[in-house]
Amino acid sequence: MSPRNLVWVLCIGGIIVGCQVAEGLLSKKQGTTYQAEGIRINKTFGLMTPEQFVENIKSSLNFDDEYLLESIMSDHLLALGGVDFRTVKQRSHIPSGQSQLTIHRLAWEIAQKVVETDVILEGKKEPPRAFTEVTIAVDRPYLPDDIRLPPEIQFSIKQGDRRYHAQLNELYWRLLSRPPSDAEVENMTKLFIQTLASENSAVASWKAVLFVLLASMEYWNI
Amino acid sequence: MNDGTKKPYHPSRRQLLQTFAATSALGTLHRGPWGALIRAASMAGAGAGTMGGLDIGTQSAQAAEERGPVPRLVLIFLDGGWNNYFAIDPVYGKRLTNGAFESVFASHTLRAPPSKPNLLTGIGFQDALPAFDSIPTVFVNGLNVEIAAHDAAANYLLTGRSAIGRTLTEPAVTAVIATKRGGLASHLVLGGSVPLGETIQIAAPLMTTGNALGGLLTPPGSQFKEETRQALEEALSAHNQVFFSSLGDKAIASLQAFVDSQKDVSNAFKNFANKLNLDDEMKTRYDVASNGNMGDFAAAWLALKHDLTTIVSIRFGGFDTHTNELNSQLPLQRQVALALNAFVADLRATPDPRDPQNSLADTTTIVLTSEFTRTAKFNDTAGTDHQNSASAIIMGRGVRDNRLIGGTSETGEVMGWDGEKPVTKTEETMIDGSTLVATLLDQFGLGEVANQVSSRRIRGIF
Repeated sequence: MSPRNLVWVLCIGGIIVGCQVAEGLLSKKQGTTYQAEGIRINKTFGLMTPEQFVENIKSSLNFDDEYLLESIMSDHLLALGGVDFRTVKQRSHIPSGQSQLTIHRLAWEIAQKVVETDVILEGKKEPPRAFTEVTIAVDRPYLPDDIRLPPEIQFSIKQGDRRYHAQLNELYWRLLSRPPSDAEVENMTKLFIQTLASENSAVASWKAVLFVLLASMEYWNI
Repeated sequence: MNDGTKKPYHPSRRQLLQTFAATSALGTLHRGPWGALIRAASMAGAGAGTMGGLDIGTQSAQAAEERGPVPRLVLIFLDGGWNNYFAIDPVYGKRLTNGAFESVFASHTLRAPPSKPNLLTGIGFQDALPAFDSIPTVFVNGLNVEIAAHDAAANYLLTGRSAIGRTLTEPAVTAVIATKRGGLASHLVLGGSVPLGETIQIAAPLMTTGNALGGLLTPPGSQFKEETRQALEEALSAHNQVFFSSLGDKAIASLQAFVDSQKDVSNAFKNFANKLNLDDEMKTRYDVASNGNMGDFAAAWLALKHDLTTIVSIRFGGFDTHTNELNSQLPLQRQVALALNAFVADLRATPDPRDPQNSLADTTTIVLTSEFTRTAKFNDTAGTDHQNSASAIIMGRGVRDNRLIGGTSETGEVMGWDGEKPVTKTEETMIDGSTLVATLLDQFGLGEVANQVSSRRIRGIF
């Protein structure tokens, strides 16, 4: 082989290998966790301000309960590190026990309101606000026991399972700006199934899932 | 009220130096080398006067260990300015005839507790006479108020410091004492907020405006079955762990306070859940039907009974009665008096959880005050306006009994106090919000902090 041909072969080979590496990385990125990638987040986090929180739930969940939004600013401003210029003029960047209680309460209230609003909209055949991928009261993950069901029902559940995963993905993107990792999908699905089993309601399961996202350390620290 | 001996709003040089020193001292508490020194001193168990600078987790742990008897404090603040002539500075003697007072005050029958003739009470607070009779009680009148504007005066009564021209807020007396104690809740604030200054970063209170406290202390998913709540808690914990395991050292360090404060939450749900709920009998006793806010008295009692906190601040609004005094101020005072009576009766009947030999009435000091009092004459709309004086009822632990401290003149103007009797008001004899706050801080073992507020005390209260 002439040196000229050798150069061509090497160039083409390099391009092929490069493409394969890129494709491999891309496929890993889509399907695996940050941990699996060995990526470490090492920035300094700070508690989201109450103003940021209010804007975030308005925009990411299309949340418009004005009464609750106002009460967040009037009743819980200081607990969330806000400033009212009367009692406190400096933001507190250190979360207190009350911050946590407030976070839990707000996360729970908002999760309930968002899910219930979309259930009502679903009933009216109107476009949902946050649960755009799923039929809230019906869809659920496919369970091992479902194999005993007739094929047509299994088919329907599997379609619901796909919508369930799409919605879970959607909630992660809306609130955390990223897809869930495999471990997170597993955790959330476990919660969904446990809640479904004990409360006999997929609506309750979605409230539980949304609460976990809204009360999570990752959501509140930016 | 300006007595003509000095210009209005004129702080003395000494007051300026005191407030400057107080501001500087508090402002630097948790910054720079002094902050480190103070934190180190606190860690080493430094004595009274040092405000604890411990992180929340350490405080909670320390508070959990320090479960011995501690003096408790309940501060009741009547927002808007109460009319003291209906309460503890009633109209009698020469006041009846000198024309300085509205004639309606003269038509009221005044009463005192049977064994405490010094505690003469107007018709607004006569429903609290059994309370005054049952535990040591002192009335404090004639506290000087330089600026009879709501926020400024309230701030002064709560903190002992003027807020004018400051860039930092100063903490209320309850917040300062709570900071020394630490834990969750170091301080329960009901009905409205109190100034917190930098104490919010050290020992944030459990605080609510309105009736949100019950909701705050109810675990998420409370309507679900126990196993669902358990699953919810586990899922949140697992979610946080996945996130936490992806963090580097710098990120972990920045989230440490968040992680620490999460420990408080499960304890709070465990300790607080359902303990502040009022049953129907309590609602009747505190007359919640007439005024829902009176439930805060009951919540305060329950919080002390269950040892959820040792310090409580309660704010009741509605006392700024510029119109229709007799149908606005008077019924409100009666509601507070009734609820105060029920509160004291409950404290007396309840053993202190940290000191069962004594009742909560033996271990709790109660302070009831307002930002200022109201004018002796009605205005054109049959209401009253702001007066440059304030007053307080102080009851319970450590309080001398059957004493009337300070006073106002026959025309209702602030007088001085020499420790025994009212005298002409001078810089030396004048008592005010700063001397009251300093006296309280001193009584709660914070003498050094008290000195930053005022070098003087009101003699005769404790």
